[in-house]
Amino acid sequence: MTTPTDNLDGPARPLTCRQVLDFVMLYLDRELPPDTHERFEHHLGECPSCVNYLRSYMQTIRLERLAFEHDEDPAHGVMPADLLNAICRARAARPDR
Amino acid sequence: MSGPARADIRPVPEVDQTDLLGRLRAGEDAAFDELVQTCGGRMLAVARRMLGREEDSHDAVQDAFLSAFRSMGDFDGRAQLNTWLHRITVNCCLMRLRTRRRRPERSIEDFLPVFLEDGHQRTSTPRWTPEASADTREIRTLVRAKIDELPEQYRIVLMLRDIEGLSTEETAVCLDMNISAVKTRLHRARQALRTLLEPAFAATGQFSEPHP
Repeated sequence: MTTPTDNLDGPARPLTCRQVLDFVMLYLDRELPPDTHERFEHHLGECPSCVNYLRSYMQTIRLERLAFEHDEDPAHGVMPADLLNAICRARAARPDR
Repeated sequence: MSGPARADIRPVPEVDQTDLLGRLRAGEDAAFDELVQTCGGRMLAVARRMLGREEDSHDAVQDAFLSAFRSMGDFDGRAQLNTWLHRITVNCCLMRLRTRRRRPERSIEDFLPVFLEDGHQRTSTPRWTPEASADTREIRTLVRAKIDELPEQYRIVLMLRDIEGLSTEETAVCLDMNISAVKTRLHRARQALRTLLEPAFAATGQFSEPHP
């Protein structure tokens, strides 16, 4: 995996698709050095495939979060009675109480 | 984008927390029952996400409560009680995962993009359909199943960072990794998940609009 501190063949050279895909997360987190950030966006302006990759990467993160969002619904927050009882029993049995 | 993902750990209201903490520290039985009743459901949800199996999840939550009861004196009250319990639960889940027999899994390399010698993508990435943004039960089920297909060490980093909302630094401490390794692993996990989801969400996939 390329890192933005690797030798990128001089400041004037455009980034390759490989470098762009390696840098996607750092780009979204705004952690790329300014020069690399600019070259990243320049590449996007010329490469629809990398634009699609970036968008689908962002959609992937959104889908991950949606997939578990409903875990926070009140219906999921109910403790089963057997677990509740097991915890109470285990606490009562602790020697350091 | 990849900072702490969610602020979904609803806090015990501040006044209640102060009151509850005082009673917990005084060893009041009713306060411990209240803590389990109030926070247990969310801890169980965390354990189910991380461990999958119901029995393991119950065991991890029980471990977490017992650990919390033991170390209640160390909790300084600056963090929210729920946040503290969340971290304990995550650690108990990680301990269970370390001792669990690993299932056979594919290499992460199988899911990463492939390039030509000149650095171009070997296959162009297709546009994804807008339906990939829909919040339906079918899509949620698919995404969970695909996350489960990730190699375990990648799935865990993705879960801790993107779903449980731990920072890169917190994840590094939990997993005894350096920060740079956490970032690399998270990026690869997301790339792999993207690859696994693509057949369903590419413009010609399962969730694309039918053509007239």
